[in-house]
Amino acid sequence: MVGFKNRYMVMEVSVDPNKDISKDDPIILSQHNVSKAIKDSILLNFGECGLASSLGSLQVKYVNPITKVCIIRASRDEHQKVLAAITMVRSVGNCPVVFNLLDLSGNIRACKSAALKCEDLIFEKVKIICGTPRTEDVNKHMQNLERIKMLEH
Amino acid sequence: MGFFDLNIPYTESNKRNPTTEKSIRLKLAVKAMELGYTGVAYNRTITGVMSEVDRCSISLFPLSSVLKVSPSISTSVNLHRRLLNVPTSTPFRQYTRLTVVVDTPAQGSALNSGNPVLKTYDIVAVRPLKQDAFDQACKNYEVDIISIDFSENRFRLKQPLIKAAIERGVYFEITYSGLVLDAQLRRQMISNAKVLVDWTRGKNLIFSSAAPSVTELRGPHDVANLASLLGLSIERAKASVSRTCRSLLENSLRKKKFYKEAIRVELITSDTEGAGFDDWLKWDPISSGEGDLQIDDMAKSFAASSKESKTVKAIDFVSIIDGLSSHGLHIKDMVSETKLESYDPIENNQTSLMEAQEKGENEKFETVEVLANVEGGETCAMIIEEVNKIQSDEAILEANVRCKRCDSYYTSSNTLATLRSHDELEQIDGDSVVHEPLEDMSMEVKDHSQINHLSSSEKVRRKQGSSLGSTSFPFKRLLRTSSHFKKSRKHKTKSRILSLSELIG
Repeated sequence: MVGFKNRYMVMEVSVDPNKDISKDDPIILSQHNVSKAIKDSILLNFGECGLASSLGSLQVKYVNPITKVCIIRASRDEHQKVLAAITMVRSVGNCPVVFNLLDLSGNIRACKSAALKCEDLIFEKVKIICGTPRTEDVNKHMQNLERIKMLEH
Repeated sequence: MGFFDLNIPYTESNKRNPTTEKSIRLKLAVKAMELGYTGVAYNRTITGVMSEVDRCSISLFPLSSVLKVSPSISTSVNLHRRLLNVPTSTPFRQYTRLTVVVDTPAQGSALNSGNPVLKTYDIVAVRPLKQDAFDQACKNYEVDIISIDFSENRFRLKQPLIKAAIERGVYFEITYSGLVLDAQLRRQMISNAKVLVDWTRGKNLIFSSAAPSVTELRGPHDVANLASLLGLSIERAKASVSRTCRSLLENSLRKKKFYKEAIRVELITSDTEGAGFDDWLKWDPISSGEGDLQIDDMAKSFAASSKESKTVKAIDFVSIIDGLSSHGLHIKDMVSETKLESYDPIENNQTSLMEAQEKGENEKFETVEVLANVEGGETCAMIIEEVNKIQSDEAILEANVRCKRCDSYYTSSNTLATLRSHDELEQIDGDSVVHEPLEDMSMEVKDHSQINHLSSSEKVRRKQGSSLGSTSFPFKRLLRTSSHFKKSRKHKTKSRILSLSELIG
């Protein structure tokens, strides 16, 4: 048995939800700015202690700037706090965002399959909004799916 | 099990810009739908004393306007519902809610069960601002939700009061938009709300958004997690956005649509008469009757089409409520609504036993007469579910006999009709059957001869549902006891003599 356990959260970010539907986004999500926003929120809500205890395992594993799906890992003991902090995130950079939990799983395999499903369905939605995608977009999407499949721990 | 957000703010639209309010509310509703919620309630808050102006004027959105805001909604709804284990066929429901801010006792006095303004809303909530208002809200006010403003610590939450409120079936509400909005507010809210969570232990507690804009709205999982931050167990936290809300809606809709929370009167069209029982069994306890959006329709009618769910409203309750006196719903009012002009007292003389428990004969005669006015061909069936129990057979019999007497009394005023009515009575006597369902609390009285004779479809059925009155059961028919007939015959002869002597006199 493994003593230390993780939780993997598949989350969906909606950027600037107050605005009407538009094709171009005001901010490009990256692993860096998402993890910074989460850490700021943990520091604000749970203080230095909370941040330090969750920092050991907290990691943003994957961010897709097109579909805005991301995978976040946290230790099992702290994942409720981390999720609460993520819920209370109001902005990444200067752009208002809303995080929404799609799936919570205990190992990377289950997380991967859930994330792949969500990616596919949300890409369908993006297609509807933006019209037929260019071939480069489709290629990028396939690359992203490959990235999810490559994830480890 | 669906998820609900019972607080989408509705602000008065008569301000400078009525369109912005509507667009914000529409965006909130669409976002809630996308996040996987299966129902929202639009909340109107009133301060000051309630008046007739405060009748429900909240417009529910049709499917077309939803599709205009978000054309891709059906895919995201399907995705989120699948992740939340909610069946995709569940309709998205819209409710109306009124929150009354109570500062002075005068404002609170409007919150009684007879207030017709409250009956126009699906859910009624109270927001007490002072200690005595909170005490009254827990003990007396006729409301569904007590919503407390946790951003300010105005009064103490005492455990006995909260217990009393829970026993009355009142729910407490915590709004989470304050938790998301501001760090300073968050501190206040968590510390105050924790007290309430401790005292209720998660019972009768609901979480709702009260989000001023889409940025404050969160998904059901996230809300449940926030609730567990306040000290709820994770099961209770999940229930507070789904199951508790559902039972709250069931209760409040029953209060709104049913007389004494048990009796529902509906018009049944003649062609569906045979399948009547099936309809009753399929009855949806949390449907408000309007504003249900079917997601399946969305997928089908992708282009903007204004399909609305097929909910046939039998009797327009809102219009009837307008004409009601303060003490609730009378069957008489209903009947007078459906009265036809071409009515012949001799031909269509029908009596049916309606209110066996009513004391005082005068009252009884009134009811019977009113019922007799219903024209024979009128396709009105009354389904009566009643919580009151009739315990003994004697009560049934007595009422039955009395009803007969009423019959002859009524017709004896018409000199020509007397003989005929006696003939009828003979028939009635032969054919009237007392049906007794297996549970001895319910009864059904039908005059078969009258129904056959006059080929009318007006039926009055007295039914006993479950103790909650939420579902209706078909009956098991039984026996005709000879003793009943003997007794009633005796009475009948008496009444005949009486009426004849009256005629001579």
